[in-house]
Amino acid sequence: MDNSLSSKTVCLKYFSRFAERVGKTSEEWSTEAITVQELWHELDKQYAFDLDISMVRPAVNHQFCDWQMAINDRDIVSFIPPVSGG
Amino acid sequence: MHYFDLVDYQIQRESLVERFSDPSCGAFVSFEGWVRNHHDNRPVSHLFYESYPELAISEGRAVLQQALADYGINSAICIHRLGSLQIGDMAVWVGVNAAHRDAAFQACRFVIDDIKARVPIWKKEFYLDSQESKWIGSEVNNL
Repeated sequence: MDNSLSSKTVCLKYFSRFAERVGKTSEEWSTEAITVQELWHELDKQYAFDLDISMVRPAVNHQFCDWQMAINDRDIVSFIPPVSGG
Repeated sequence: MHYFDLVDYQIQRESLVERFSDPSCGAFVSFEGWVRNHHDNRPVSHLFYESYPELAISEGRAVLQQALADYGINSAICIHRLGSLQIGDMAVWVGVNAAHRDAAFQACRFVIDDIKARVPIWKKEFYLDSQESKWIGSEVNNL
């Protein structure tokens, strides 16, 4: 069975402006998205994030990743807005 | 040796500097980032820093490893503070040592620049002239 076609549940972690936008710092999310890019668009439709995708970096399981990274069930996914440490 | 950490208490520079004692090193360079009272012509009252700890630690360590590999320094430490900071508080401390000063200066500059550019830490500004607060980092290109 092709796992990519089945529904997955991921843990979404939100930070800074995205956490404020969503109103929470994490949530469980069921999706049929295959890539993190598809998941971003799905969430953007739900929450209307105020940043273009070009300003955001995806991370899966605590590591930065490519937008075409495939999502697996139980992955921890986060979208990283522009950083401003220092 | 390299060490990156996130802390929620005041950074103590003296205890950090002690860790750089090394008879093979003739140069030690440090950088301190302090909270200032203005930004973009607005009076800042205080800041709040948050991070994605798991990713920030791994990215911060990668920056320090890169500095050791590229500049031939002996050691590098970076500590970033999180939470609510007041004007004058130290937000970040970077220290490096090397046999000679050129490598130490260059590596210290590289570390703070790369930490600011890639490590998932966010700063929120609070102002004296309004109740508004703002996450910093994407002002120019906001949609």
